[in-house]
Amino acid sequence: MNEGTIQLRDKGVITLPISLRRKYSLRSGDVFSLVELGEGAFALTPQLSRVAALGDKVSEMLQDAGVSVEEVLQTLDEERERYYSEHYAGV
Amino acid sequence: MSDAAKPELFFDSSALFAGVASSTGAGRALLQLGEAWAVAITVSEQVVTETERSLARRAPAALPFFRQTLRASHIRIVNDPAPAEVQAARGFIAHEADVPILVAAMKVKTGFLVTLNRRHFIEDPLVAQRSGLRIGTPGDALAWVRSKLLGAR
Repeated sequence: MNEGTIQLRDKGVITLPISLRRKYSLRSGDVFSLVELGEGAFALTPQLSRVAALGDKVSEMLQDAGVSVEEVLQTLDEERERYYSEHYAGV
Repeated sequence: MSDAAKPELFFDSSALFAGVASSTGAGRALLQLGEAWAVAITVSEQVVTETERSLARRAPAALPFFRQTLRASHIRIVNDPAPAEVQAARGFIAHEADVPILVAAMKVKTGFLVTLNRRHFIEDPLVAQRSGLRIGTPGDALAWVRSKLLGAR
């Protein structure tokens, strides 16, 4: 794994080391996804995140249906009981 | 990163659904790390069925996008444990319906069982002790992943 330091410059600009840019064929204009790991740590991945786009779509559709995440989590509890009785009844 | 160093996580249904549907939570960050092959995420058939049934009841139009999110996260789906395996692990967790999830996570020897069900899985320390699993919320799991990834430098 490559190690090194990079400096944050004006307007939040950072420069990736030339060794990494060459190793992964990174070019000016390439788009990255930034994943926050907490405690000031981040991961950069060289692609637009399909997970983020698709997950946001799910979130939008829940809103359109007037359903909160918490309501679906409650439904999950009911489905757990149902699944258990279907597959493990009598265990 | 080599596969040997890659953090392995097992998602319970609650953590999986929240990770997909909530853009700001740690669960979403974990799914994006799965997308980038930085972590390996596993679920069982039960987890998929429960989440899909719940969405089908509440917001069926979201179901195709939910399924695509699972694929994009490179999630591995494993078989449910056999009834005999569940029977053997009865008593590992107080709520019986959770036993198959616990056993599925034990069978794949996951590094971390991720759940939002604090009451059943996390608040009883005997569950982790009996199963031998590290168990916590998506936030706990992300902290563990962070320490693994940074420790791998």
